[in-house]
Amino acid sequence: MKVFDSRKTRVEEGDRSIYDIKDKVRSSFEVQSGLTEEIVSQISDEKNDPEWMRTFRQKSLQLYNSIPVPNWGPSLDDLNINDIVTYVRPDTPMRGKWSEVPDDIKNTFERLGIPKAERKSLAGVGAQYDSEVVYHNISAQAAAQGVVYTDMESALTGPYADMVRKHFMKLVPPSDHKFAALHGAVWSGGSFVYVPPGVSVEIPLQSYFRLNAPGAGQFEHTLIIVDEGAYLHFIEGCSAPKYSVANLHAGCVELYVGEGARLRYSTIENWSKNMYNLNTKRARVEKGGTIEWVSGSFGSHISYLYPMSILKGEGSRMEFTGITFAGGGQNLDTGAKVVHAAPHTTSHISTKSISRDGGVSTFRSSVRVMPEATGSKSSVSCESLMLDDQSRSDTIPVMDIQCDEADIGHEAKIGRISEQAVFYLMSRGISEEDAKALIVGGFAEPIAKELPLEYAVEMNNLIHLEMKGSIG
Amino acid sequence: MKERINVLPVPTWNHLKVNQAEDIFALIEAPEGGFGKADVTVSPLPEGVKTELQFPFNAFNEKIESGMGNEYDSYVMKHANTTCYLKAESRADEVIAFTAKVTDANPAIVGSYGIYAEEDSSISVMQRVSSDESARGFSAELTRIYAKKGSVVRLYQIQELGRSCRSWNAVAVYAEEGARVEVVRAIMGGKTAALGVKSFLSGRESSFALDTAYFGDENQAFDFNDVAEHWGKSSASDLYTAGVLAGESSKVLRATIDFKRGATGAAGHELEEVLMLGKKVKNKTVPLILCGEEQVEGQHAATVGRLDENHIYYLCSRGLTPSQARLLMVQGRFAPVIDRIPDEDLRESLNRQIERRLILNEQT
Repeated sequence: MKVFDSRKTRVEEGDRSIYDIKDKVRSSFEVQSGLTEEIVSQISDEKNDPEWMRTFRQKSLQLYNSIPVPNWGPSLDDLNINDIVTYVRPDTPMRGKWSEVPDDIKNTFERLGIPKAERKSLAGVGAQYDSEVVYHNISAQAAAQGVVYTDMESALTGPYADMVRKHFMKLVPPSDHKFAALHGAVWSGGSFVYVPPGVSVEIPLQSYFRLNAPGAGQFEHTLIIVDEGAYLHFIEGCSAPKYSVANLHAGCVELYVGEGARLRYSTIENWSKNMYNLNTKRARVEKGGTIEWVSGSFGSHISYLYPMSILKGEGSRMEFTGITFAGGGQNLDTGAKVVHAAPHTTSHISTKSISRDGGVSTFRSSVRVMPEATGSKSSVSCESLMLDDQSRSDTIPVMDIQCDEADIGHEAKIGRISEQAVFYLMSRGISEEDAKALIVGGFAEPIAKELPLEYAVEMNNLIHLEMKGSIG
Repeated sequence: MKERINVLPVPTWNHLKVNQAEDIFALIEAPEGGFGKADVTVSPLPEGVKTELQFPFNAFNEKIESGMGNEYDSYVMKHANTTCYLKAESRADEVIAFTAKVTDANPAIVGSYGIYAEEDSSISVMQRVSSDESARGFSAELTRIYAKKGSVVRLYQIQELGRSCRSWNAVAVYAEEGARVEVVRAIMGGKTAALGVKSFLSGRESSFALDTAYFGDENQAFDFNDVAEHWGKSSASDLYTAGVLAGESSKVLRATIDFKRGATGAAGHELEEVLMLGKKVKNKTVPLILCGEEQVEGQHAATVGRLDENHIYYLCSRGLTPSQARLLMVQGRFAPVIDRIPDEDLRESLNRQIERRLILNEQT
């Protein structure tokens, strides 16, 4: 049999030209780089924060200064907060029509396909550019159902101000970890969604986050409340052009899933490869509710990303489906966390990871079953594929089981592309490169089928680009 | 004590408290004049095995550590009150038995042991540690194994200490080309027990098998850190752990398969089965696969929970009582470990103990 590893050729990176277009930085206001009480006050002034938020930000800053950098995970030694500009307000107010958005910003979102997707298959769109939302709109049908979808800045002072205050950073308190504290101090932008009881939003809402300014941070806050018996599919996308300086993303997502409600939260993350993606996502699920996470991680230089589900109500469920593709220069530490805190709760985590060209992919998870979670079930399955011996792939799961009446299963596999499978495909007339791309596509297929069609196509394109020329 | 033991090869979230053994497993400070005499006997050596005054491989100390880590290894070597280094020069099939006992008169065992197997030799060693019922003491042992090309080393460890005793037990393994090392552990006693095996599979087609059975009840606490490091091409590791947790017992198992770059064709498998039989038991399982080489096959699986009610129902429909059905299923899980112990009386005694404790814990 042919030795497949003997003549590899590589391309450094796939074609990212759509994502890498840099607009001229046009801000109406930005703070200096670094993080001080004055800078945090400036952000409060600029955003006309209510008093409680001003205090909240300053307390978060104190926490940030007292909490150490994590002593686990990829190294953050090269991330210097003093080099990061934490707030850049674009020189345009939020618009409800794309025609009113400045041309260069609008063109960027056009290239990313957002307005087209909105016309075709979305019930609402929020588009954030650097630190603030520049476009927000919801379909008349969804609005008529009583669905609220607005930017966080408006929500903080609008008719839902009390609801926002009641839920804001309650699931992810600033004391949670250093970058949650940073988020609490300098957050800006993001979306607020409220779905009233019994309302089913048939087509998804989407928020897209674009970071254009070099050396800037993006700290958007997403707060979604899906009330009793309601349903929502929310899609989050993000990208940035590549710069030679570090950019930072420390967003926060808080999801409240009411009794019998269901929320699907899908993410295709494609940050540029100079980005530190230190994002925190958490859901709390009430009795009989369901949270479904679909997560694709393709971009970033370094990622720490572990969406967490707290199954608080009896019979609540979570499903996590994720894929991570780490290429050259990337160290992507991703996974999921779940806490079973009530009887008869169910969790299922299924992930795939692919490493190539020196990329490092780590799957990290924690499953905790509390003593009261009798009759609960959890299963974790993670599979990793290594495409060369320059890369790394690590699996670091933890199961903490404190209940004897629970059934917990875990399995993990790591391996390479089967030579027999490649040989077979080649014997049917397929080139070796295409055969391997086909096998990797098949490996990722269980994730792709969980995504809306357009996003599955985008993911497959990303995989194809990453694979192209890697083998041969 | 300041020693960090059972450190997870790659740390994770601190709040989960699995990055190293907790304070209840801290080592005992050595008294000024040392730990006194240890009550340890060794059976007559078979032909082809002799004792050495020192562990006959200096590089071992610099490169290889046990699963419990260098700090523990240094502690044992510094404070050892019993040492025994064996060298196998040819095939020796007869089992060499170490019998250690914690008594009121000799409450401390700090044992530094070594097994050095020459090329194509074989050696089997069984280490048993137990205690008088009233004895308050501890055993802290370290066994270093160097298996040269084509050799076979089998180590059986049975720990049956009383509930007033504490236990630490570490193993470090270095395997050259084609060498095979097998470690079988049955952990039944002790108030606390910390254990760690680390194998350094250096040679092509070297292999390592670790089979562990444990039974925890009352307030017993166990802490494991087992690591198989694959350096050699086509090296193989198999780690199997079966356990029962009853009463208010707790356990942390860290099990790591680490494929180093260049270990092409290596395969590592790990399986853990935990049976939880009490409202207050606590189990933590941390099975790592670390991989820096593409051409490997790594797998781990864990099941934690109750016995399958359908299986019990089926067995009852065949005439067994629920209690007998449960015993049969538990013995089925332990069998791959217990059946490998080369002493029939000891196997029967362990099986009787499992039965007795299972019934006792069903009643409480």
